[in-house]
Amino acid sequence: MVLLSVRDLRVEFATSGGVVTAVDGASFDVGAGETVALLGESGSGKSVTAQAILGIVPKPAGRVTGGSISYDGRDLLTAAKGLRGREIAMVFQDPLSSLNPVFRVGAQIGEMFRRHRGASRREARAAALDLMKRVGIPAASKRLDDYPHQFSGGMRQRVMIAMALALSPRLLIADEPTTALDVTVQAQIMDLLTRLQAEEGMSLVLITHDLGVVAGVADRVILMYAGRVVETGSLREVYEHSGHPYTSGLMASVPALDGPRDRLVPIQGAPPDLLALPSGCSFRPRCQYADEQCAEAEPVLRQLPDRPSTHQAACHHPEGVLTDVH
Amino acid sequence: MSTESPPPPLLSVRDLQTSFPMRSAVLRRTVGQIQAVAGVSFDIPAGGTLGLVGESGSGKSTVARTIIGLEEARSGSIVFDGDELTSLPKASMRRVRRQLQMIFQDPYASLNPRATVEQIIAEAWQIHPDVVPRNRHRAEVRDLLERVGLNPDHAERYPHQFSGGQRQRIGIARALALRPKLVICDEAVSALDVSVQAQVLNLLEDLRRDLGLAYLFIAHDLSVVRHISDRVAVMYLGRIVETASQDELFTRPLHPYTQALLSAVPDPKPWDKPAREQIIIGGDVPSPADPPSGCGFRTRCWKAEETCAHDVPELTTRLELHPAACHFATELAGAAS
Repeated sequence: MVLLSVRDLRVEFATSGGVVTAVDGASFDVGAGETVALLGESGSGKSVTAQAILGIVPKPAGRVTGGSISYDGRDLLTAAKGLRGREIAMVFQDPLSSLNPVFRVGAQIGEMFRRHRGASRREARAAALDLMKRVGIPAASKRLDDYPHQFSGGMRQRVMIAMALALSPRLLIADEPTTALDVTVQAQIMDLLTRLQAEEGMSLVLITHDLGVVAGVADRVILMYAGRVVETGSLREVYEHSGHPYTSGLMASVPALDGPRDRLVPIQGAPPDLLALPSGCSFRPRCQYADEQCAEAEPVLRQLPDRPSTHQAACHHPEGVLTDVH
Repeated sequence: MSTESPPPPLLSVRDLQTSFPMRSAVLRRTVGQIQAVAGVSFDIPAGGTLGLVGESGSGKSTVARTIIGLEEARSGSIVFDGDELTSLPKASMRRVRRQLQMIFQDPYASLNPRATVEQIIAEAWQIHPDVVPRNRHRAEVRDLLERVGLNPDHAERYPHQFSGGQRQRIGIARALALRPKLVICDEAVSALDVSVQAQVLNLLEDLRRDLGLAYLFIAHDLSVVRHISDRVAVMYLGRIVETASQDELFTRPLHPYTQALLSAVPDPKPWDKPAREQIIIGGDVPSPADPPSGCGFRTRCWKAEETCAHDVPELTTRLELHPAACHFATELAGAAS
């Protein structure tokens, strides 16, 4: 069952250099209980897509100018605000800037229950304690009355996750939830998120630039470049049989933790300048397969030759990519 | 002449300690010391690359800042190319620093936004006029830009006109301007997108091969460190807990912290290998202001016993393996192999 459906989403930002199309016709679905990775580098539009889903595109600079986002059959772009707060929750990269520094952590978590469930102060405190235990904060009863700055980065992220879970959301969007954390703490948080996802049966959208973090976790991958979805499919399909030259380029750019230390094969050129995108395919200036067709027509997502129908890439020459890489 | 002895290392650090005063806001005086670097020793040969890995608070950046003179060593010695840096007079330091350059994480913050690329690169030659004569500046800047993969015709441009990866190349060109023997890279590729990071790593490798540079490569990303280093040292709470050749360290980690660290690195293709047992250690790195007694890692270690709380394990070689600072390193080696 499809829980979230994004169609032809378009988000524009007014900048001093002109209007930038941060998301340019992105379409994808997230099924109930599914874990999806939204992958991309800086400027890919992955975080703006999440902002659009949550209705928090920074205003007045940013604006959703086209497309639709439907959640459980309802149109999110026109829906009342409350729906997002109750059923869709979000975890951000930097928990310190999302927590209020002058309120105790227990009270901030409890606020969710007081505001949305009409809980009493005592009930809210008990519920906050339960959540803090569930997300693995040691000595939770002692830490209820601590302030955010008294927590480490990993523990703050656990507090954020506790707040996100408070109202039992059906969809959790985590935007680079472990990017600011040390690698041993990152492993803890990913472990926690996967465990909670399974327990709650909620859908999880993991937004990240890190191909490795989501590898053992996500069912499906949506890869973005310059505001467009360039490849999508089951994670293993996309990683092992990349059909878009950008995807295969990313895979070849990551140094391995074992095996021979071969020279890396980087993607040429620089990440896209959204103010000066080329005609046709945005990846074309960095692509070894590019020809006139790529300059003339923007490639659309389509099924790859001899691959499952769910595996699609937006490239005019996927045959070359598939045979060269594998 | 008798048989040749091996050449001395280019950089030799011994028992380095660097601490920061802890000041009380109320009493307005120093109430203690934070041991950011608590006795660190390593060598880097000419043309070699030592990878220094660790998480936040491990002291890896403080090691770099102390070597380069941005922090003062509390004790220990730093011998670079025959000079003892900790006791060097200021005038001589200038001569030595020429050979010792640093590349920072954030290229944008470390480039003057109002200077052109040519001014940024040529600035060092005003302090060291003997390196490149005035009338050669322009030509030399063009050569350097070409060497780091930038268009020499862009010498008149300003930093904001370049992408993040290009700015890091400018930072590298500036570091190369004085023809150093050792370049310290402090998280030099961490802020870059993966696709650009690979370009810069290849560039650093080419420069090492062509110019015979040595690197102290500081990073938290283990796969990047594995890729570029000859030797690797792992830091935790101000100490090196394990050091070995790149190959040894990644195939046979002895210290429990190294094992946990390697296990925590996400694998982009987990299905390619037999399922590995993931070690997820609890808790966070303790504060260097209040480190645990004995072994710094014992509060998160699944091997810790009574003795770990009392005795600081020495970084020594046990059973002809590589040095690891763990009381149970030999036992762990048996379990790992």
